[in-house]
Amino acid sequence: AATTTTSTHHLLCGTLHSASFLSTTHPFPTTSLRSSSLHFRCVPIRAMAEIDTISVSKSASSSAPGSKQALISLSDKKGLAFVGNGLQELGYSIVSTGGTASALESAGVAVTKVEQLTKFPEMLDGRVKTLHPNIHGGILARRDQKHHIEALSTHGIGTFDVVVVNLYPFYDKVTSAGGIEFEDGIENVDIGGPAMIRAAAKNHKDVLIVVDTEDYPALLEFLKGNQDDIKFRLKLAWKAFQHVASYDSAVSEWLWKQSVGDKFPPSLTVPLSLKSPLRYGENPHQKAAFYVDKSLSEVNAGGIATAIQHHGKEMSYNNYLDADAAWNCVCEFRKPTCVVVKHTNPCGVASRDDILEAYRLAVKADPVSAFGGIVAFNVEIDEALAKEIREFRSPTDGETRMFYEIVVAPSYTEKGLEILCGKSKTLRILEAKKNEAGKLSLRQVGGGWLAQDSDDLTPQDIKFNVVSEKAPQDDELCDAEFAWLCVKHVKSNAIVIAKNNCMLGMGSGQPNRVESLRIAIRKAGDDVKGAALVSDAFFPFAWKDAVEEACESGIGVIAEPGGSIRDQDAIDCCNKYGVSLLFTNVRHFRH
Amino acid sequence: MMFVLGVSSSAAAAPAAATSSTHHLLSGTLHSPSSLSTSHLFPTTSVRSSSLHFRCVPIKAMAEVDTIAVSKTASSSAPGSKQALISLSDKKDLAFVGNGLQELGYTIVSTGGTASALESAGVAVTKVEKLTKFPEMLDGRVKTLHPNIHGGILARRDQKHHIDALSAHGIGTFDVVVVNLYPFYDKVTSAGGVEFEDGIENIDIGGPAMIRAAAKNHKDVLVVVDTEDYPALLEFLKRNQDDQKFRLKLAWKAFQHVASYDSAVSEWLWKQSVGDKFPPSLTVPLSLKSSLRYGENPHQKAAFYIDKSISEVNAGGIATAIQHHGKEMSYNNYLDADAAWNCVCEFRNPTCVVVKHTNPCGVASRDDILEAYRLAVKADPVSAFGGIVAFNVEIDEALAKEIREFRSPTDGETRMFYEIVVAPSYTEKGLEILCGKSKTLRILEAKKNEAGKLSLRQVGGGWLAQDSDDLTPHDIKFNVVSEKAPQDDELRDAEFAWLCVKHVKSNAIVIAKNNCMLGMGSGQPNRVESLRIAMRKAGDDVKGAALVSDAFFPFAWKDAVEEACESGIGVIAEPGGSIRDQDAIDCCNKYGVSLLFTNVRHFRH
Repeated sequence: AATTTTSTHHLLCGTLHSASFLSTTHPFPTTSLRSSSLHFRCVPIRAMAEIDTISVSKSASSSAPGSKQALISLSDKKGLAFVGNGLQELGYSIVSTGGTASALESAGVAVTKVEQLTKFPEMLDGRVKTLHPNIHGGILARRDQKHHIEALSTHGIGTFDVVVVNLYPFYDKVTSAGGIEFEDGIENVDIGGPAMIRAAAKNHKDVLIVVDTEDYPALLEFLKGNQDDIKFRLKLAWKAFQHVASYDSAVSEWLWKQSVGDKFPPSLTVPLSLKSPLRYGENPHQKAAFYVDKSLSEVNAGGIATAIQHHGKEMSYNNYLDADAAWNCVCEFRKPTCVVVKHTNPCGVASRDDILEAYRLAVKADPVSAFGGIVAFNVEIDEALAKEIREFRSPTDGETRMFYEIVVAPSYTEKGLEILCGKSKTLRILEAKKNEAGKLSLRQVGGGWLAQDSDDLTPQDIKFNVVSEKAPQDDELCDAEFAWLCVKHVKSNAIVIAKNNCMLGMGSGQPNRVESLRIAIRKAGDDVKGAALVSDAFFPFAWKDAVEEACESGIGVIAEPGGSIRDQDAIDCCNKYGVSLLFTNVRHFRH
Repeated sequence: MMFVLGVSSSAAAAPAAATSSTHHLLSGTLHSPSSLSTSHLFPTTSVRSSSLHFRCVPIKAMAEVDTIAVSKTASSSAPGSKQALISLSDKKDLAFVGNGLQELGYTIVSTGGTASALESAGVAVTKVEKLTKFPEMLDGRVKTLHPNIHGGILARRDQKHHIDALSAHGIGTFDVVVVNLYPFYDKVTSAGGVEFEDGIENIDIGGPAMIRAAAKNHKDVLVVVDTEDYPALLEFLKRNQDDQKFRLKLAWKAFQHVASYDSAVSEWLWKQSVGDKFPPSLTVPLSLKSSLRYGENPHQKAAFYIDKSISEVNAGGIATAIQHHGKEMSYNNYLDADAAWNCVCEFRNPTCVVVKHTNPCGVASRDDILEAYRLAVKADPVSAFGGIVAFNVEIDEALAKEIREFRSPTDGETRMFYEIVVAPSYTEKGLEILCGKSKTLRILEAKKNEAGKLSLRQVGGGWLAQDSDDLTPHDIKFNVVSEKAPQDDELRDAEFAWLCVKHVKSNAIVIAKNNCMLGMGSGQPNRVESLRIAMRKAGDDVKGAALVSDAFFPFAWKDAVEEACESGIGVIAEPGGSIRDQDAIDCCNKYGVSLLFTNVRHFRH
């Protein structure tokens, strides 16, 4: 066996370390399933012939040292001619399976069919064609173990130096628009492919394994180099095992849904695919990267991760966090709405039939915080709105044009986008889809993960129960509903004050509720009179300080979950001040 | 020869028609929480190693022809026989499942080491080589990778051409496949580590192939990968009724098992090759630890998972804490306990941290942990009530008594109530006393998180990955940029406050004096608001104290820095880096306040 050497060839090194190396743009190749089936019966005379074949091939393999052999089995036949001809030109004999073999022959590549090595027909609709020791022995035999080579020789088995396999397109099939019948899904679970991939990856010292069409050029380049590089081999092996791990994550996710189907299986694997490196994480001293969730349940399910960026600087770690918070909030509203977010909390929210007015009001709520924040809309950004975003002066001084890190909306008109792009070179302009309901929320803690349903409740899903003597007016009830939807997106302990579909004040993230209340009231200022105040949770033993302070401020209606042993005190207090009190029976902690 | 005939006669056995079971007992079994356990996701056992070598000569080949011809005839004449394939790395309960299957009329086919172990347990076994007519070779690397095995697993009983093909080749079907894998996970996470080549040899190839094949054909083949499922398997087989849901569930478990196995292999291989934190793709393996009553809110169902990444083995954290006492942990309890634990473990001196809604509301360090505890609670007793209390030292009898007896500073009467106490360890007496505080108090024993973990944060449709923030005051430089330099005790207070502010949600301000946090402002949309909250909380004690900000003071500097200086603050520390840094310096000089730039930002969201 050739001695392994570390390559110092610059071109090869360059290839090895380039950013595009070992691409993952096609983790799940898209192609239609290749189907083929051969059936014939074996009779004793055939068996006799097989004996002769064994003898002949044994002699042949012993008499041709140094020959090279590649095993190719492709569902995705993109690049097939390139890799097949490339290997052939480098002196490799090509062994292949049914459909791939036909395609290679059509491309002018000489092919040995797998059945010629296994002396076994494709049977069971191709389910076991490569599951044979003549194939797997050729992959798994270690060239540095004399007894391995002798065993192969004894059985007339040739070694494989390269294995190129891509799998039945299970992921694409089960996520296709029309869906898929259960039995079709099962038939698209590849068995022979992963077995070959894993075997080759295990024996990567002797066998190069390629599972991604994007890696064909790197493979051929490596082989032309005539120098070995164990790092290259190891990297391909890593990619192979990761590919199979992701494939089986999808299969098990799908099977779970077909069987039990609830959100919390006894075990799961979350498949992630790198979308882009990030300049840094939450802070410059933390390296970071951004991954797309490849779970089946996330396909076409919306969210900020799959937003299209039309313009602006690259997104940062904190940009994604803030944009996610803004997008999740704004998509909950039915009327045209603008949400402004800073440090993942909404600091401005307004709904109006006129989105221009909604935008102005949202920024006015807290212009200091809005500056450098994220602005999100749940309606298309047209020319008029784009101009308003570009020209609106800060309410703080009436002069400074507002500066934003990100604008996110469901769509843009051509003119709207053009105008927005002209606002600044750095403004990130995102087009996103609303998150579907019913997603699985996962939160990391040290050594583990908290899983829960996403919080998909809207005001229409709950009942605002009047528990005070005074019932709210219709507009007060509307304000309570609006504030309730806002408070859902504020970090706990959370208080929101709103009037006329506009958030006036917000208190967030305090260790106790009374502090959040004071912040919100101070922010709302004189406008607090007649406004709605909503709390994310009940008012506990410090009720006098909180509810009474709220009532004294002139609040018109209060909504909270209720459920405290001191609820009656809160009711009594509101009655004393003539304030309406609503219990929702729904808590909205957000941490 | 007759024995061989008996074995191969199972070929083409007519399977019993599948029917949906309505048997109550079976339904109960299927839906009970303990069904399909995952307590042995990665079985612990030493790897079985065996190797057979012999050369095949032409005369042997002739004999094989005879065998094929004979077995073909025989298989047609013995319908209804049942066959199981067993290959175990973890041989726990091997006798139970082997004998159980045999008693149910199954012929057992097995591999080298498993076959020997089964025979020792009194189970009659057919070795795989007898079916494949192929020796174990290449150190066992390909023993089951043969169409006589995989055809027997993958042939669909409802497809006539499949059964005909088996018959033509003298292949018998398998109705049950019981396989557990080479213990790759345990090997590479063992205390002594593992050499690269040993790691590679512990990657099972034949096992996953059989498991995946059987799972694909679950309509006809039952696949079991977990020793905990042996009783359910035998119970199912005794019932003589089919149940596709049971079969499908076993198939799910099989694929999930292999997915988790390969996640570990690829994680390990990545570390051996490139080794950085952000590979082009990864799969995060999770194992259910417990269901939770609900999530952040009662209308959200929830559960708690252990991270089975190799990098998380023995790496500490709240997820693997031991709960000695108290109510079950809730979703929010875990979040708060995690925040408290992450914060308290950063301090070197004996320290107590109190947390509410994931933010520290009390932090104190003292040589005397009792004093530290009292001070931490006093900082904000209203918030501390019903909060989480964490210590970075062992809880002994004296500290436990103090926790049990300490009266709320608010009224001097009420005993403090906590949801959770978490510490690295407890003395026997300390634990006894704490357990007596209340039936509900959750008492956790946790290990410090190791540095260098991968932090993952979910956003809609994707994940943000980053290094964990492992910086401590000793890793950074506090650069004096003002005319006045801080006294030593002021510098220590700045370092202490800096470590506190790291764990406060941004925008974050912490005021501290004498190793005690006096005030904290968190989570506000702008920094000036956080500053005011912190100063109000600190009250008169703010004079001479240290104030630290998690990020630089931006264009509103006059409101923030000047307000801080006017309050009597003695020293301010912030990252610096604003275009208005000089204004901040000038302001501090005007008031005679020391100003330190750390060049390190600590956003926390």
